[in-house]
Amino acid sequence: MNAEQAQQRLGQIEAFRQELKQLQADNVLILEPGQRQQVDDHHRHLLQHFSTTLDIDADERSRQLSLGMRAASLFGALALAASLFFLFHQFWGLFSEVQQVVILLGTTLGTFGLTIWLHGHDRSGYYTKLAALLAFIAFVLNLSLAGQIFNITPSDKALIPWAMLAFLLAYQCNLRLLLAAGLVCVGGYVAARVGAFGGGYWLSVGDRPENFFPSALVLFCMPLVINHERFPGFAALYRVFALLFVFLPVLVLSFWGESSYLALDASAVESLYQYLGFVLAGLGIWLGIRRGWREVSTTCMVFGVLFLYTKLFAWWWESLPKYLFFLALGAIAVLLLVLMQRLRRYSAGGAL
Amino acid sequence: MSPLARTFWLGAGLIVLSNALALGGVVYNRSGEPDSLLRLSERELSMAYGVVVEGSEYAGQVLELDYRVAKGWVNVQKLRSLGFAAQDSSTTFRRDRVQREGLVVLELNGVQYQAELAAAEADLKQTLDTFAAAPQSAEARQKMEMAQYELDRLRASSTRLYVVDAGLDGDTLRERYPDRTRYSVVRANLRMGVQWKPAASAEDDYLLYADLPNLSVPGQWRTVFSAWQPYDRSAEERSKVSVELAFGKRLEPWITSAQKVELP
Repeated sequence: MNAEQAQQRLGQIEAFRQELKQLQADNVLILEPGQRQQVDDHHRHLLQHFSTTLDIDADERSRQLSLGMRAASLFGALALAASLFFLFHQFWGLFSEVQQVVILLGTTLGTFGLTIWLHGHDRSGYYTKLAALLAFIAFVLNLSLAGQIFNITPSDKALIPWAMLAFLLAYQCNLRLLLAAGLVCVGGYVAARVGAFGGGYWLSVGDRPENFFPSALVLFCMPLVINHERFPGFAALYRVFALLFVFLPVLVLSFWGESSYLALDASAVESLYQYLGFVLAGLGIWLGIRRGWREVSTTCMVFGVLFLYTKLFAWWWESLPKYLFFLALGAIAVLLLVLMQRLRRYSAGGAL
Repeated sequence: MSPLARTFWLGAGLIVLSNALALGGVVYNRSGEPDSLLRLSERELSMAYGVVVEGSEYAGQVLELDYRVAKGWVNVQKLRSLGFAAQDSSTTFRRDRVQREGLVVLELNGVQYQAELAAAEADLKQTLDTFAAAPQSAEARQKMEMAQYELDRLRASSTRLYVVDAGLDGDTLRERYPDRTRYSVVRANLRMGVQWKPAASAEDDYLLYADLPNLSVPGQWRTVFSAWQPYDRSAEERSKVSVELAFGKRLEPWITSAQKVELP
């Protein structure tokens, strides 16, 4: 069991205690003293075990502090990575090409080794996360700067080892942040290959947003093929990034029809993608609710609202007085609220 | 072996292998005889913009090639051969702004440069004749002075490096331009453009933009360019240098020598 699973179990125990207290107060269920003692002893033993072996939050105060530690860990990692980046650029000219290569390789191997060592000794995981992000950034800098030193033609193939290292760190150390980095690399590589297959330069992958659709398909299917039970939150992250690789290009194409592969007028492309955006958001909400993928329904809902409001802005901002425009937005928000409330009632077995 | 140790060796192996592949490519590119060797001056080189760290005397140096695209060879057929969907109408052009990878031929101090010099000299002669016929004319004087200025710049400070051709196959281009001390086949990112005119574009109104690779200056030659600044946009503002630039088997460039040129 890892820290996250232990934390979830702790939450279950607390919820159970609260509910048991309520049931006792309502005279619905009163446990025998012996049974109560047995349950309490079991829970106490579990909490002790979790506290000593895994760095979990025993109460609300600890949880709040943990949130702060996560933020500090992320901020620290980004700051250290930026420091490394500027350190290299500040003093680069002092070194010969051989020395530069040795420094780059040494930094990458050193930070990677530090990450693995910390993972074996750091119960909390915050220092491991910090070191892992630093190791990943060092590797990205390693290959990028080596390319610059030797005037190597930039290639999307560099995304492959970056993705591999990110995945290795993510799965070994259970780090969703590194998984996100790996997903960006994989998605970017697939999109670059699609773009290059169409004759474009790989770094101009964004000139044709539709290049990202195959990436979305790949990422969405991966958790269906690979079991992620041992890695809480990983499957959800795959799905979220898949949705981002669909919705962001659709959003761009709904305003910039000229960038589409489709041999249609720009305005026709824009209309097509505007409708497609709504349809996909609706389908995504339905799928998310049906499969219990909360992240899917939430992401689709956010983008559905974003599509709606951007189109309302495009249609009405110039033509309506501002107070009427915002009144209309507010009325639509209330309508959405009523609709979703009724849907929730219906899904719970009530009438619409 | 413990899982942690296995992870470490996997990751270390990945890092080392990636570096080995990258550096192996460099060794291959620089092995044997270079594909071409150009001797450039401060007229064909400048300090690249976008320096990450301002004001650091120890920061790395990156140069960029200053070049012009020769006129008369970019047309619809050439653009189509490069994979661009060039049409007679400029409307379709707006939709095809993607960059494409390709190869360009750089000519140093060759036919194109000599032709521009000759044209500038002829232009000066014409303006001199016009001025001689109407010495009171301010317009004629101005045109003469401008023509003289342009010729002086072309002779002394303008780049002698021209893009004279483009294609997708390096061997074909090299067969067409065999002189390896005057012509280099270089990887470039290509974009199609069009000269704006009120009427519909004709076949030869198309332009080709080429982004060429930057050049990292090895540490031993830093001092040659120490006085250069990114905002020195004219060769007159840069100290005189002589740089030997080689292009290897993968058509990737590297500086083989660089020295300051002292004025007599």
